[in-house]
Amino acid sequence: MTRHQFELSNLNVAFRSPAQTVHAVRGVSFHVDKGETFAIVGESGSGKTVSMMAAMRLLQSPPAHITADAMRFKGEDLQAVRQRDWWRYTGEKIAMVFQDALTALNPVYTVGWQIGEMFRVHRPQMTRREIRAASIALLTKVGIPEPERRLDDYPHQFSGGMRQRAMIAMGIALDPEVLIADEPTTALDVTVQAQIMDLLQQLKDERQMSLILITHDLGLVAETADRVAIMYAGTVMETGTIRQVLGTPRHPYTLGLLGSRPQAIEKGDKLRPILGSPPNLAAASRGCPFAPRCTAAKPVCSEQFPPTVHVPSGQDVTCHVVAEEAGQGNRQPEVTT
Amino acid sequence: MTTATLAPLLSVSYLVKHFDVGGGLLRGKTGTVKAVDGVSFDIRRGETFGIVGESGCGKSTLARTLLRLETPNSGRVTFEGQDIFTPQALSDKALRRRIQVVFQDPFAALSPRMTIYDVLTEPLKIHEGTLDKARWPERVRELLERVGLRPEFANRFPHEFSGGQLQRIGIARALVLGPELIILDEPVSALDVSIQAQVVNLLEEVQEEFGVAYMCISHDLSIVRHISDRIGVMYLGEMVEMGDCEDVYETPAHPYTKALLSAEPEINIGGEKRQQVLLKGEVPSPVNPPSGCRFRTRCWKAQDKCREVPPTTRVGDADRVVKCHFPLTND
Repeated sequence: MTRHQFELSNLNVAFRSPAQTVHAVRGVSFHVDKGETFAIVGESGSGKTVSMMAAMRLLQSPPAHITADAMRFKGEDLQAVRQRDWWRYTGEKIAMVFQDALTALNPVYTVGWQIGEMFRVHRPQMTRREIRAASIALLTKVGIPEPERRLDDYPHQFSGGMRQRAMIAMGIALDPEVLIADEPTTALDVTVQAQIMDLLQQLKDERQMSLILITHDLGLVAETADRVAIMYAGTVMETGTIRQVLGTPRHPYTLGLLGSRPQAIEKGDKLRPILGSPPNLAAASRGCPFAPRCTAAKPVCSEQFPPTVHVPSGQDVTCHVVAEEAGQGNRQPEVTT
Repeated sequence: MTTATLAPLLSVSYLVKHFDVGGGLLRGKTGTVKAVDGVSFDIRRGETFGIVGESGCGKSTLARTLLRLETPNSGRVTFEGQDIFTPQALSDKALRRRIQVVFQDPFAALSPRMTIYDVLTEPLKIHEGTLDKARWPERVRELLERVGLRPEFANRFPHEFSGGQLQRIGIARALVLGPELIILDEPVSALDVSIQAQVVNLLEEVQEEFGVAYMCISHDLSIVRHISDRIGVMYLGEMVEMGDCEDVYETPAHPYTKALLSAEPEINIGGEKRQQVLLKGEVPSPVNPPSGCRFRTRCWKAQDKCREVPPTTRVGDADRVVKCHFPLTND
């Protein structure tokens, strides 16, 4: 078996309270290889952020209840790492860039102080002068003009695009091998989004970094990722290369998402939306979470959780209907990766 | 649109809205944000006019001014030929009835303490005499059914609904008084991707049925392209390009329009990698916009003239309006 840079297998996250249990993530598995961009796509509440937060130990437990068959970094079992040693992994081996840079940055410290914190914690041998020089180099790297001066600015003095750049600077400060970027451009305008994605791509190429990109934008995925997982209600519905999943989609949800875009129809025609709305995760059914909205649904879909099948075009699809067509109904196949 | 030759429903000419920026207590005014700076356009009866532009370009201020939530510094706005900013017009509630709005965030736009029935009948209370009170329940029922909700939802409170449902209620509220123009300020951007298409279809159905005109503001270029008949592109308070929606998307003439459209990611499996214009830097501050052409600091075609002389607005074929010294030729 090949050793992946980062690997999750059968991750489950539930939030328990006396009143109810919310199944936020159900059986998510994926891996990312060296220098590769893996995208996780889904709507709000689909579990894409929670999966990565769980892997990074950022969820409080309780209420979060996390189980996984495996979580590995270059073959090393991350679940076996003691909590007091965990800080050596975050930032250094795996780093995360959060979605909303304005809330993720601390308003009462300068941007320079916050970037420098990475070095103060992880590189205690560095002097203050060295830290400042390294921080300036990082700001230059991410394309912030006049970095010597901007280092002493507070987050509110930065524009949205610059804050996101500063977040990326913190993320790459310790040269991590895996960078998780959670909706890095959602709050930004398209012209700035293009700049930020260009920067991430360039950093990834330079450092042979692996990038896990969390987003809801299929266009962005098509242009930047190598492989993708489409999530719905805590489950990976379809996963494979961009060409497989977006070029020859098989899952009814993926087909619905692609079909509801204005680009999928002629101008003047009506859009073809997915009917209904996402399910309440506290009332999780035994069956396929997409069944109530699925046009292809059969009785079995609402009774049994669907199997994951490897289809001829190469991707893995979690769907009863696709499984039946492939002649593998209800059999859990060996997924070869 | 077949009504294209008729007089415009709404006509905006040289609209200016500036905000003073203070330097703190007793220090007085230190600058002016030129949020909307000399914008002109028309909206025709029953059509959809889309406005695109990045944050800070003045599109929301423009919408607020047309709703008379802001008073313009100068310029003229007429609705069916009547100036909407004269003192008489400002006290005329009937005019307000004819221009309504749907806001971006449906969770914030509805009062959590009012039932849906109260939300939908409040406009009728304010505009007394529009509809006999005995007929209100019937009107609410009709509207809820029209926007795809069950009539018994009238007795519920906003927290009982999803974002998509709340936006349907927001649309119903805008329709209560039978307006002729509805301003849509980012109508779907707060909604999940799988819900957006449902709401866009509803907006189109409502337009067909009631013949209402829309001014649709959005940063989602594909949604604007889908629903608009004509579009305007704004940059730093100015309308830099305007024209038939498909024309502008197919053959942008202003460099900014081209850059903006090319920055939108697209799904193109196996096709050629599209040409992307990557702009330098970010939108400059509207307090101190660049001299000459406001886009010149990020424009790859800028020359000396662009710094020295502000471009004038030129009208070309098919009413295409471009504000640029060196518009792109699309050969």
